[in-house]
Amino acid sequence: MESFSAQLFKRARWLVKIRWIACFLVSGLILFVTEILHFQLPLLPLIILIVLLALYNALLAFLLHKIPPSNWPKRAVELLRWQFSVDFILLALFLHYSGGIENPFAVYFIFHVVLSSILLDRFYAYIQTILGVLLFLTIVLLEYLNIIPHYSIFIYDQGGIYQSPLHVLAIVFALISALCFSALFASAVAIKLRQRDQELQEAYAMLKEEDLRKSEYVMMISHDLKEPIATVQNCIQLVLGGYCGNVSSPAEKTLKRATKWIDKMIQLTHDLLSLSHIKVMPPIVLKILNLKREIQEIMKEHEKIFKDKSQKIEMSLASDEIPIRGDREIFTHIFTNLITNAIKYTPPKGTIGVNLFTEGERVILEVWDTGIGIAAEYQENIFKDFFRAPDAVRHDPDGTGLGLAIVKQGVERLNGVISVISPYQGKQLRTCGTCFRLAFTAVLEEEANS
Amino acid sequence: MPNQKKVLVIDDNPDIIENTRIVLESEDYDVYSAPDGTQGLALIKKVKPDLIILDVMMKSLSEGFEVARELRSVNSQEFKEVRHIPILMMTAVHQKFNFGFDRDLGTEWLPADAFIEKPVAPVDLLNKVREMIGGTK
Repeated sequence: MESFSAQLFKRARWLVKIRWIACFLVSGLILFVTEILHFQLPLLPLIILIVLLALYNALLAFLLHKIPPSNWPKRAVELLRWQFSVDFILLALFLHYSGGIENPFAVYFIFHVVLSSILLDRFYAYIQTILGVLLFLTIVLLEYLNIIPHYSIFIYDQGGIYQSPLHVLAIVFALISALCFSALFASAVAIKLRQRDQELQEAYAMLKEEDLRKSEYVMMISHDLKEPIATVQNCIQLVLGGYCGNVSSPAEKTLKRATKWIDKMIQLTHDLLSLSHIKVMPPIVLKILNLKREIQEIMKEHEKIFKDKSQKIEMSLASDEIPIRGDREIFTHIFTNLITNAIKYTPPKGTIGVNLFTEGERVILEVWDTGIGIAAEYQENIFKDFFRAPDAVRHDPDGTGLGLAIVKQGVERLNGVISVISPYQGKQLRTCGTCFRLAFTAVLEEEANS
Repeated sequence: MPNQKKVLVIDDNPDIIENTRIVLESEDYDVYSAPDGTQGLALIKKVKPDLIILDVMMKSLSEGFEVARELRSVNSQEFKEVRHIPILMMTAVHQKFNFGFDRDLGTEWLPADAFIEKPVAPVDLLNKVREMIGGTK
């Protein structure tokens, strides 16, 4: 979850966008009132102000883009405080050159106060509010006392409202009270929201911790179950292997049936162990891993099975070495699982393919097949624990439904992402069964060599 | 039979020891057994087997590895004479994750000559043993 400072930084980028919109709208508005409504506005200072706003926004955009993420939080907060003040000053100047107290856009002070109250701590939000109030008061007062000129936008019979003490007082009171209330309410709501956010983060951390405990529990139970089941299996294998004397035919058949179920139980405990283990594993140190070599090695190990099922293999591996940051055992687990699945769900004489290539800064690994495919409605569930699509169950009733869950956990452990495409249109533009697409971050050559 | 090859099985599950004994004796191997690492190491010195079959996970998660490391430790004078005896280690798949098993590092890191994944089918066990020390018959 993001920290408050990181959120502020993100919002600063958002504010830059809003400011571009403001530049555009203010320019349009000035054009409209001077050209269509024929208001007499001092164009030069207003244009200078728009240029200033644009320049300052461009500078902010540049800074936000340039500051490295590690320096984000603290600077972002400072930047944000500072930019609200600049916004207020620019707004006050715009107001001054476009009618002062007569200009209905004075209410935009409220908009600024609300934004700063939501995005800043209460203390700084109040400081911004006070600054807004002071700026507005100063302009109105100086214009009232004729210390600075007043640029009228409306023509009045008698002097204009900026000279009418009652009118000025009423507007000043209304606007300042609105600013103060906005600041109070908006910061109260923002504080509540931040508290709620904090609570959610804590609850999330707690759930994660509980999930970890659960996985440890599952791992322990699976391990304790596996040993007795494996011993029973071993005993039956001995009897069936004739090591304990001759076995009658009905006894052999019955024992074979028992073996089938025991194999299923062993597979289940095995998958549960792998899945829970990969979940509870402490953070691993990722090493440089040459995917091409790993893939070739694993494919070689499966050659006999491909041959037995008369499945064709199509490999399209990038000519260069493609290193990623990974862990050999986890990658072997992931890739073997995907290949085993492809073999299982592809009919004899079908094709299984592996593509490995780079796409910008990402390394893409695709494992595809011309098998039974995965219907669109099941695709979002296939990585969930124990989920099996009906077609897969028909094809192989004995699967545990944990294989792809293990794969997904493994890919995430290597900071990668996995997605499924079915039906898949390969490079040869042929409709295939399923394609699992894995994306990892590429390692730079210098990094790999060091 | 004087030329019988001796195999020592170290496992804390007595039934697995018994089953392994039945399988290996069917091929006339002379089978010895120990229920834990300490007794196993003592028996290695005494019997000087041709092969040691070692379960990784006994009382502790890595007892098998510890036995193997102790036996192969270059500094140890105690096991100097038996250091060369081949070790067949029985592991479960997930243990590779547990111990950072790394094919690149091979025997330097894990002092074992071969691995076999549990549960082991009798035929696979016999093939592996034959491959490592040859048949007895």
